[in-house]
Amino acid sequence: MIDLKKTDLCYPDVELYYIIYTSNDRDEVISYNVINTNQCFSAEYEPIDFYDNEQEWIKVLKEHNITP
Amino acid sequence: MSWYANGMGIPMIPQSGDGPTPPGPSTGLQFVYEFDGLNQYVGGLTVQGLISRTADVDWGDGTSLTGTTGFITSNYSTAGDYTITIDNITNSDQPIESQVLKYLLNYGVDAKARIKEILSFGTSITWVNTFSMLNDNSRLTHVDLSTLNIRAFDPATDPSQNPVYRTNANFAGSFDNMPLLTTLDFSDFDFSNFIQFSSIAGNCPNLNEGVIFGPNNDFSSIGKNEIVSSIFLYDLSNLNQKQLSTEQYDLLLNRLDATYVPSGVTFYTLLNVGSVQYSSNGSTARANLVATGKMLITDGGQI
Repeated sequence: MIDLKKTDLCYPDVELYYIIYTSNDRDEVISYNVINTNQCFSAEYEPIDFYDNEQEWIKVLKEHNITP
Repeated sequence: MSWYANGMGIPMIPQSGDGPTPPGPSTGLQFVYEFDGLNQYVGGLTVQGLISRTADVDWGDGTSLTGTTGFITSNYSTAGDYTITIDNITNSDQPIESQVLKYLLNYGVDAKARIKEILSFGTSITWVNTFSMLNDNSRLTHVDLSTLNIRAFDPATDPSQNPVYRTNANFAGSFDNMPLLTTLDFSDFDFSNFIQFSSIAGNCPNLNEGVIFGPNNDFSSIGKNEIVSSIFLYDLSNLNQKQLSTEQYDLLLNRLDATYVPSGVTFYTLLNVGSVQYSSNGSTARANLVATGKMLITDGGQI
C-alpha cells in the first residue's frame, strides 16, 4: 500500500487503485476505483488507501466482501 | 508518478445568445412515437401509468380520451410518427403513483424503443423517482430536459417509500444505450432538487454535440439526504473529451463552486469526469471544491 494522505495526484506512471473509507477505522468502504495514467485525482480526505498492485487492492476489497 | 500544481485562473463568464422565441412547451407529457403498422399497442404505455389516476390523452391521430384511467391503448391504422400528449394527470406528484409514471416512457422494450423525441415532460407534471428513467430508448434523437420538474422524496410526506429510493431526484443510470442521441442539454435544467448525478450517457456513441450546462444551474441540493450521509456521486466518466468539452467542464466546476454546499463532517462528493480536462477558467473553482467543498475529483487534469 502506498502511503498518501493529502492527495493532488496527476498522471501516475502506473495505474493506481484506491479505496475510500467512511472513517479511519476502515470498517466500511464507501467507494473504490482506479486512477488511470491519463487522469488526475484530487482530494483532501484522509481515509483513502492507494495501491499500485491490483491484486493487493482486490484482496483488501474482498476482505470487505466487495468484488470489483 | 508525478504531482500536479494547479494554476490560478479567471472565472468563466457564461455567454448567452439571442434568438427567436420558441413556442411554449406542453403542459403535459408529449413525445413522438413511431408506429410501424404492426404493433397495435403503445407497448403497454398506460398499463401502469394511469392506475389510480386520470389523464387526458391525445393520440396525435385525431383521437383523444378525456379523464381516462387504467389500461388504455392506441388504435392507429397507418404507420407513421404520432405526437402523443398526456395531460391533466391527477396526483402526478404523489411518489408511489408517479414512480410508475416513468413507465410511460420506459415500460416495455418495444414501446420505449419507438419513442423518437420527448418534446416535453410536462410543465404541469412533477416527477419523482427518475432513477433509470430513460435508457435503452434506441430511437430517441432528442429530449427536452428544460421541462422536466423533479422533486426529491420527502420522508415526512412519503413514509411508505423505501429509504434507498428517497435519493432518486437523480439521473443515476439514465440515458444509457441511446445510439441516436446527439446532445444532452442541461443548460435550462433545474438541478435545485437534484441529489445525485451519476453514471449517465453510457454507450451514446453519437453524443457528439455533447453535454451542455448553463450559467444558472443550481447544484445546492447535492447530498441533501438523511439516509446516505457519507458520500455522493457525480459520475460523468462515461463521457469523453468530445462529449464533455473543456468549456463545459469549466462551466460545471464554476457552477458547482458557486452553488454547492457541503452538509456535514462525514459528507463528501465524488466528481468523476474520466479523462476530460479543465482549463485555467475552471482551475480556481476546482481547487475550491477540493479544499472547501469536500469533493474528491477525478479528471484529466489541466490543459
